[in-house]
Amino acid sequence: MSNEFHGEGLHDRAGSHDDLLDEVAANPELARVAFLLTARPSERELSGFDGPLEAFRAHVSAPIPQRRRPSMISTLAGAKLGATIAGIAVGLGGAATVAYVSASTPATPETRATAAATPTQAGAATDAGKDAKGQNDTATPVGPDATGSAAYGLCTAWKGVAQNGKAMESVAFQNLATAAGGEDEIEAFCAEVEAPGESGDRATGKPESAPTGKPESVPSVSPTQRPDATPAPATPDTVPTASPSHPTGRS
Amino acid sequence: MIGADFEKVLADAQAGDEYAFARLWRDLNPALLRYLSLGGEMAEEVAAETWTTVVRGLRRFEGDETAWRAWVFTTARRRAVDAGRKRAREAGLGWRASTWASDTAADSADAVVDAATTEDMLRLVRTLPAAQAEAVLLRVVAGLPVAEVAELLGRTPGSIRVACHRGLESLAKKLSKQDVTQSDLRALRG
Repeated sequence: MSNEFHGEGLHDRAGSHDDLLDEVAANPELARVAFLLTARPSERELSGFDGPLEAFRAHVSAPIPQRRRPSMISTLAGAKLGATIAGIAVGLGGAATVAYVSASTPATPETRATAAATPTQAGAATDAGKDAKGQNDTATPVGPDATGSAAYGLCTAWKGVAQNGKAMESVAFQNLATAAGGEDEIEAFCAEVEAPGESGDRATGKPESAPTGKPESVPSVSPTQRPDATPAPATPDTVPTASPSHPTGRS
Repeated sequence: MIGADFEKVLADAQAGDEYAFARLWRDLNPALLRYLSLGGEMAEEVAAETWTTVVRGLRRFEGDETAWRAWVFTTARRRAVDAGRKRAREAGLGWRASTWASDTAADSADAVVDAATTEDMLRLVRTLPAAQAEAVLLRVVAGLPVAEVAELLGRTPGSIRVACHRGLESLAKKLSKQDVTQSDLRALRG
């Protein structure tokens, strides 16, 4: 048996190998066959991840912002959902940030090639945040616009993770710091940010009292006309599974 | 095998974590390619199709690591059978689903193979009858228990045990024969 083979061998594999393990262990010639068949993967066997990754992105990690119509991103629900994901990403050490951020921008051939070329690192890494940071170099993350309607959601998320030392690793919160004029100014900035609907021309809050009785006159507007804006859905298309990490502290 | 971390890795992948999916892929793709090498040059293409199918059903999958491996290899075999059928149709040949791997075996049956690498060893495996070759690769390389291999191949556990045993014995003899041949050659040279 040559020393150049480093197969993990049946004894390191599934514990259910029972009789086969005994059979191989008792016969050096069979052991040699087994070692050859289970030798370490070659480079060729660990290449070609780009196709499966592309399919994975299309069917499993489908980016939430891409699925939504552009107008929905600026809705309250969209902003809050984005901030929630950003908050969860910080809580998880940044791994989800890449999924969210890279999903926000169309994947370029370069980014796909990078991911495909590093299955070893991605697969073996337990420090996902470290790898995620490395991948950010090619993913050109943008994150939500903290100067726009996402500010309220970002501020809400910030309150839940401000004490987390890794919070500023998130592009989303870096945007928030930029909008606030510095990391130290976030708290003051957020104090000034009003919840969507509080100051806008269009009232989105609930009335204090419900009208009673029938209207005295018939509206002149045709009932077939639709409002300009579609109300945001009560629930997002995709529900984050890490509910315990809700940045607002709500359960 | 991923082992104790499998449950979490799978859950993370199902939640969209690309790193978790990369770990699943990295753990299984080499074994998948070795198994699909029974089908010849189409192995990589079939492996890619297999992963596409697996990814589509990933969120719905439930089970432990053995069930996961069995599912992936079952999917791979179906894709390989489809590819073999298509290839036979295009070549105007008859087709039996059970022989998706056997039509490539003859090309290396009489070849002198110095099985110094995994690739060489796989070439030797392809000289076995298809049933033995599949049983050996699914048991040894894919790491599947007898019951899962039996279900995957639609045969009895007993027949799988026999096929695997005979296949391994045959491979060991071929290796042994090669060793003698190599030894003779060295003696003649010396």
